[in-house]
Amino acid sequence: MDDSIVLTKETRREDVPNWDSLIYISFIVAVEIELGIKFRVADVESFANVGAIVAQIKSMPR
Amino acid sequence: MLFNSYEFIFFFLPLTTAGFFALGSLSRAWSLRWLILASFFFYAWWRPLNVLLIAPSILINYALARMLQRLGRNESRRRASRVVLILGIAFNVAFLGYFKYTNFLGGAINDLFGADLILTEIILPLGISFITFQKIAFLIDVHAGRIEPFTLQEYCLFVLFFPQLIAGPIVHYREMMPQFQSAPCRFDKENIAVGVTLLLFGLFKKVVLADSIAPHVTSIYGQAAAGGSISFFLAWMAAIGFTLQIYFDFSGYSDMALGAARLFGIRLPQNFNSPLQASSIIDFWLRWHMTLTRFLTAYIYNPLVLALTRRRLTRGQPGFAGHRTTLGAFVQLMMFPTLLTMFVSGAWHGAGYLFILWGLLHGVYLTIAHAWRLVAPRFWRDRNDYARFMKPFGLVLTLVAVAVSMVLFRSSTTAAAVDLLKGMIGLNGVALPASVYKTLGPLAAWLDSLGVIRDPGNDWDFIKMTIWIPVLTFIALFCPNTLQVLARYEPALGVKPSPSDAAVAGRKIEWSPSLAWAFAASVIAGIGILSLGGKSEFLYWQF
Repeated sequence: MDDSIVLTKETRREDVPNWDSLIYISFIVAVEIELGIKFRVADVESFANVGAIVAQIKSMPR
Repeated sequence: MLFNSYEFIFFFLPLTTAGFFALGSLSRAWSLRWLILASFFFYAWWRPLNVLLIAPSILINYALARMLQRLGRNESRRRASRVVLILGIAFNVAFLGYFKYTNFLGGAINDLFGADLILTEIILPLGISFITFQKIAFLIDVHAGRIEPFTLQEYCLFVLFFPQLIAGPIVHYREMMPQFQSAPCRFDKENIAVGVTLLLFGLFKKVVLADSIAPHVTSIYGQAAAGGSISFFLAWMAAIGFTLQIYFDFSGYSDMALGAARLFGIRLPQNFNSPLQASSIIDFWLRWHMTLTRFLTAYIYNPLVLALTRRRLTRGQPGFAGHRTTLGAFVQLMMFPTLLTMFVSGAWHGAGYLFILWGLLHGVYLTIAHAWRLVAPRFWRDRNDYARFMKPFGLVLTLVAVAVSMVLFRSSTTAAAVDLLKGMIGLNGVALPASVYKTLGPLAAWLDSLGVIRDPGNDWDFIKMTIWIPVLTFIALFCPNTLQVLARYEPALGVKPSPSDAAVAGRKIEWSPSLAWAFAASVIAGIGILSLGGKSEFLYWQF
């Protein structure tokens, strides 16, 4: 783990060095498992930044 | 109706445009209805019976999509919505499958089991592969709640809009409908000027550039299919020549599609971005037939990777982790989805072993490229150093890899493909046409000693391709493409001027509504139109 990376709500995919689409999907799935939720494919593709992911999670029924 | 035919350019297109503007002064609704009617006519021109096949399929898809829309609003009925979606996809795949794959599967069963299934010729409705993909994408989008409520008329316009009907670009409903809904439907100088320029550039690319080598490529592939063994130079010329031919053919077609749409004030998505300048095979697929790559990524690759990642992580297995990715994760999350996606791409292009092999070969290429991306930084710490070396090397490697794959794409029989590939590695000997040999003087004796053979025929194929291949390669590698030249007028959806394009072009070549460009366009139009009338079809119209 690289501790120098600090996520804020404004963090975008291009802000993280060596980020790619497959790491992104692993990250999203890790979030899903941690919180016991499931995103829709369309949402996964459209998240612009960390804030958008947080907003989506808050809007989801638990 | 072919884009490169007299009836399209001098009859259908001017009349449709004029009618569109005339009705536009009454109401937008009538302009759009006129477009649907014209598109039906366009589709029916080649074989009127086709309309009877495509119309029911549109109605069934519309009904399914409406059903999905109703179910989608209700969270408790997700399961029912899923069932309808799966039925819809199955219907479309079966529809395509019947026309495209019945004979292939029958033949395969005959091959495998020595069965005697009788194969009858099934006539493929024009553009069915493109139309089917677009309809499937629409159903998935409706299911995902990405589509606003729509009418039958809007759906028909989306499916049938003639510039993109037969061979793409494959469009999304959500990028097209807002344009139709807000189109002024009035005569607009800029739209007409940009549209006509795109049409002329595209026509020129097809009838002058692609068709310059097409007969020679056809000649050599024909000889290979007839059992002739193709020698080293001619085999490479056929492979590279076809790669250039299909690039100018299909990107020329795509330019014409963009131009035709622009006459009505509609922008289609970009389909090509100088793909032969790609420095890796990954880069190539981001620049070649871009709307197909976009479709396959969004509707096959991404959902598959997401599902597989979920499965791995819930089982506690490691996911994708950049340079620390495990072999298991790479095989399951990268190699398998890539191969499967490219297999679908191959099968979509055509029912035949060679198309499937072509797709799988690209899947292998992409897998190797992705693996290389993961391990390369271990050998090259300095990124700039790596880029300096890899850019030219990667460009040549990509070009060769694509040319080899195109042998599978173009060959009519497996034997022809094998023969050409053997020729390319020198197994069929090295030969020069006898007439070329004669002009070499003292060099001839030296070539004899190297074992070069005199080929009694193929003079014209050899000479014409020796001239045209460098010319076309130069244009494909070093000239700005049509959309870069027109970038200031957003010729395709989202295509804007970029500072790096100017650097590629050396100095900026930019279209403007000026006398000089009008003259250049007229010359291109003149040459293009004089070259019309041949029976030369666009390569992608068969799919």
